[in-house]
Amino acid sequence: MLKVQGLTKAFKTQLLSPAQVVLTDLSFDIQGQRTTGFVGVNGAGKTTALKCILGFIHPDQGQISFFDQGPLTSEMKSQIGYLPERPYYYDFLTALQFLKFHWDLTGGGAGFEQRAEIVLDRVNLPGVGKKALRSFSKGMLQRIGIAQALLREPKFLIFDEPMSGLDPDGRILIKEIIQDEKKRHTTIFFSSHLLGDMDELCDNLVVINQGKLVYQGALQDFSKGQGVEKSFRDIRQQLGVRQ
Amino acid sequence: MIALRALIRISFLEFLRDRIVWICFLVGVVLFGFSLILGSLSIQEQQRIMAHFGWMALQLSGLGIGLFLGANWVHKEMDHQTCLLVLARPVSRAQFFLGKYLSVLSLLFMIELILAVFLFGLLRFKMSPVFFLQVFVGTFLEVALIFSLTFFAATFLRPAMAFLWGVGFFLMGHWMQEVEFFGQKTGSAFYFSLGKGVSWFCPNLYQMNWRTVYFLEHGVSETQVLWVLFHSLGWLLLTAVAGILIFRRKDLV
Repeated sequence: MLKVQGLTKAFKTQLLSPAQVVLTDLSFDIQGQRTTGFVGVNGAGKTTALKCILGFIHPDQGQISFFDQGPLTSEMKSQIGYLPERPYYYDFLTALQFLKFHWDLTGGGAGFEQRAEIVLDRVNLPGVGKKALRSFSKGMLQRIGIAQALLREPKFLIFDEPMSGLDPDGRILIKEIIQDEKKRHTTIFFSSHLLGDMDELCDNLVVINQGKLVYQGALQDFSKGQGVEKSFRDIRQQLGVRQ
Repeated sequence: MIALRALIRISFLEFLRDRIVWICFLVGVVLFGFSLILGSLSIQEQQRIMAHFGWMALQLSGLGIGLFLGANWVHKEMDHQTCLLVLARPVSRAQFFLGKYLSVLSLLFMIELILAVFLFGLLRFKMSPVFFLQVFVGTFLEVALIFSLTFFAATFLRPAMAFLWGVGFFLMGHWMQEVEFFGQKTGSAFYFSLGKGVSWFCPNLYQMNWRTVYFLEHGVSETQVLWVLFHSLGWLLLTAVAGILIFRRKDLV
C-alpha cells in the first residue's frame, strides 16, 4: 500500500547554521487492509515523515511509492483520507459547508448529501450539519476532521496524532471510529505517542527514534505480551536514550 | 476547475472576515469624510480637494489590504495548517496558490468598487463616467500590482520583509521617472544604468497615476490605457507564475 525507502530530511533553521537532520534513511512498508501505528516520542520525526509521505515536505533523499504504482499523484490522493495534527478549520463554515468544500476539492459531483449524512453518523455527529464549526468542542472538531477524511470512502487513511489533546471520552470515540474503519478493511496508518492506544488498535507497528527506524513489523512481536509501552521503554533503554 | 472555484470561494470568505480588511475599508471611509470637511473649508477648490482625497482614500485602503493580506498569507497557512487539509486532496500547489491569489484580487476589486461608487456619488462636477472608470482602472491596477508583488514575496520572505518588499516596489514604482532623470543628470554611467535598471525591474506606477481632476475632466488617452493594461497584466502574470514556481518547491513545515 505504501513503501518508504531511504527517506532523509534535514532542515536549516538559520541561513548560516548547520542543517538539523530530522529523518535518516527511514524505510518501511505499510501493508494493505491493516492498521499500522507510527510510534515515537515527541520530536522523533513522525510528523515530518508523514508530511514527506504526503508531499508537503520535499525529502532530501528517498523514494515513496503508493499502491505499488509510484509517487503520489492526484488520482492517488483521491483514495487517501488525511487528518493532520491539531488541524484548524474555517470556523465560519457549518459542518455541512465544510464537508461540501472537501467534496468539491475532490471533484464534486452528485451524492454529497447522502454521503455527508453517512460520515456524520459514522463519527457520531448526527444532526450537527447546520451548526457552525466555531461552536464545536475539540473532540467534535477532531471527529468532523475524520468525517472529511472518510468522505470519499478512501482506501487508505493517514492520521497524525488523532487522539492528542482529547479527553478520555473523546479518545474512546476516536478509537471506536478507527475500529469501525478497521472492520471495513480500510488501510490505516496513524501516528501517536499514546502507546496504550496502539495495543488496542494496531496490527503492525513502525517505531522510530531520532528520525531512524527502530522497529517494523507485527505488534505482537514487538510487545511480546508485555504491552507496547513497556517494550518501547526497553528499546529506548537499549538505545541509551534517557527516559 | 470545481476545486479551484471552491478554493476561491472559501478563501474569499476567509479573507473577508479578516479584521485588517475592515480596518482598511474604514480608513477609506474616514478619509472620504475628511475630504468633505476639507472641501467645505475651501472656497473654490472644494471638488478638487474631494477628488484628490477621495482617490487617495481608495488607493490607501486598497494598498493596506493588498500589503497585509499579501504579506501574511503563507505564514497564516503554515500557522493554521489549513493548507495541509487542502493539499492532501487532489489539489495541486499551483491551484492552491491561484485560489488564494484570485480570492484576494476579487476581494480587493470588491472593496475598491464599493469605495469608487461612493466617491462617484460625492463628486458633483461635470465629468464623464468613462473618465471616472479610467481613473478607477488605473488605481485598481496599481493596488493589484503591489498586492501581487507582495503575495509573491511572501512565498520566500517572512511577513514583515514581504510587506517592506511591497512598500519598496510602491515607492520605486512612483519615483521611477525621477530616478531615471537624476541618473541621466549626474552623467555617471553607474547612476545612469541604475536609473535604467529600475525601470526594467519595477512596474511603472507613475504611468497609472491618474488620480487628479485633470484626468477626470479630460480622460486618459486610449494608448496610455492600453499600455497600462498590458504593463499591469504582464506584471501580474509574471509574479503569479514566479510565485507558483517557488511555492511548489516550498516545504510546508
